Amino acid sequence: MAKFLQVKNLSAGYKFNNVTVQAVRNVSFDLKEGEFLGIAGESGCGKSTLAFAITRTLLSPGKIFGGQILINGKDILSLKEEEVRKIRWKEFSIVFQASMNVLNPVMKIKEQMYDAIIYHGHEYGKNLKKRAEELFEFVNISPKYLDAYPHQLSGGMKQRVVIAIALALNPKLIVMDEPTTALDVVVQRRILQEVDRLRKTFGFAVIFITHDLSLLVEISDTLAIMYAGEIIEKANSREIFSNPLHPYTFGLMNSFPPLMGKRKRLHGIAGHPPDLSKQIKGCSFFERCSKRINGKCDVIEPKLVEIERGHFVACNLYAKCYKESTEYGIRASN
Amino acid sequence: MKYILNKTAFFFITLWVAITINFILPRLMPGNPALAMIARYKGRISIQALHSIEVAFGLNIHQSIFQQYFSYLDRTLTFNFGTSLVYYPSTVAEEIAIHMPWTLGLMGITTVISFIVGTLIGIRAAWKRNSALSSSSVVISLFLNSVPYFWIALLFQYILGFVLGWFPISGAYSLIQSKGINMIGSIIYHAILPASTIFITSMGGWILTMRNNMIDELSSDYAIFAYAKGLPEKRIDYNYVARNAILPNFTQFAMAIGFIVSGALLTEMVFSYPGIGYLLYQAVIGLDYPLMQSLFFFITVSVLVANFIMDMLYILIDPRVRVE
Repeated sequence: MAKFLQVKNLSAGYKFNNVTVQAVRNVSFDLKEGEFLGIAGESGCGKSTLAFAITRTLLSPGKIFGGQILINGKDILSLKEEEVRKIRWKEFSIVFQASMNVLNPVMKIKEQMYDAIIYHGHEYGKNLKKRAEELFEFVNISPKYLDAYPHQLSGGMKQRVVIAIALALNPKLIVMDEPTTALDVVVQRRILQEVDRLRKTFGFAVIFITHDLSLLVEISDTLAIMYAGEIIEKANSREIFSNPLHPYTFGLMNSFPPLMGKRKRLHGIAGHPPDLSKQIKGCSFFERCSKRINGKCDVIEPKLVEIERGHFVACNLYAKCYKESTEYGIRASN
Repeated sequence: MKYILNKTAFFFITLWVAITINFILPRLMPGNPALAMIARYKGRISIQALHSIEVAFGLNIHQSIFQQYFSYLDRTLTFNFGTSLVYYPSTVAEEIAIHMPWTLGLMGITTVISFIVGTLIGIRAAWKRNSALSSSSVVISLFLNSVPYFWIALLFQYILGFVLGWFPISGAYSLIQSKGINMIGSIIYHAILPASTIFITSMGGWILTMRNNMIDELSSDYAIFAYAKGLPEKRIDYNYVARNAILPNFTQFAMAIGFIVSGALLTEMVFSYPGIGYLLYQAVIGLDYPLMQSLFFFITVSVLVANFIMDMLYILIDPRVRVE
């Protein structure tokens, strides 16, 4: 399938009072049409910044420092604001972390939905009401709530409304940034399954960002693990689950309990992620890694390299990765 | 519906409390208006005359306090406030009827214009947060908001009215031009100076609060979501952000409307403008208790009524108060 989105060497972060925080560091990945990519990582690893950067909604003091974001081969970072505005919601939409608060409290839900359609001069504009009712049916909400105000809905319903709005113009990509964080696990799962069902019906691609790895493993095609602003491992989600290569991924996989089997003590990952406002030398996971090799990992910054077919990892434990990273390091220093 | 009943009940209870306090307060003060009247006439007043004054002012000391209270309530609710001392023999009601339109015209119009203009500038200043307009508006607003009003008023009066002679320094209209269109022109001409001083000093507050509310709301999730939806700037600015940012200002606006009646005190003193504020000033220096008491009554009622109206308007502008 064709590549819909290509992210190349993207660096982004925040800049204020002469402090620069590199929240996304040199991230590259591709997304095929209709693909479900899960991005997981702990809080503060740059997941949300990545989501904002991809959709070009990273507002001041947020800043994109470098790289390219190609949508259908067109770099959206080089477009003018008005040009981006026109393709927003048509090509890609975004569902935010705090979906409870993303609806304007003083406007009727249908007006907020109509807004997205009207201001893009879309053909659905001819029959707004019909389209709105259709969208509500997709996400299993009674169309009578179109006339409601946001405060009259429950948290789960607001979430569905936001997803319905995100679907309004049939975008080819929906970026979901922890859309189910404030909901209980039952509702989380139901919404996730609904998203998956809709994706299969309409064929849009999804980038699903969460810190809850268990939620992603069964539903996403591809899984990317982020740490300290970088993607450190990326593979088919079943593959990553059964055969984690990076010590960090391994630690993550072992930090939630299995439903069946013997009781055993879980081990978290000791330590804290590095300070992203400082330069990081060598591997960003060095301080916390149980398999680190002194003199190797604290010197060479590992690059994301395809170790096995479709399985990318950035870790110096793997000879191929170490070799390429070293060569890259030497090239860069020359 | 429950909200409306709640607010209506609240309105009437506060009104009753205010009227009652207005009854108690003058009776806690030493002396009474009748004695003040005697002092005014330097004792050359007969016992019969004194008694008739007491009856006229509703200060019949031979009645019990409850009888006084109920007759006070009766007179208040029928707008029978007795006779003014300073403007004797006019009744208090007549004097208020003469002075009220001037205050309402001058202060009312100025307050509304200042609210609208200040809010619009606040919206622009917040949207273009880093522009020169925005930064300077904050400094200027803070300055205008913190200088004493009478100082600005006196400065304007002295420079524009006295030194340059562009505007009349006192009064509400010229006694020479008192017919038809000339009269209206003259009223506007006389109102410019007092109105502009009120406008300038009160607008700063609206700019500041609106700008701050806007900046808060601009970083809210729904504003960013509206931006991500690809809505044009204007749509986000007015229908999403300003629509929410203005809500707290509406309450403040209700207060300002309520205080129109009393707030004109300084303006009307400085410019000798024949409104309620001027009347209150005269009442205070003339120890005119009936007039004072009824003016306090009107000030209280206007604040309460303005708040009540705003509470009702809130139903329209904020769907969240429409709780079933």
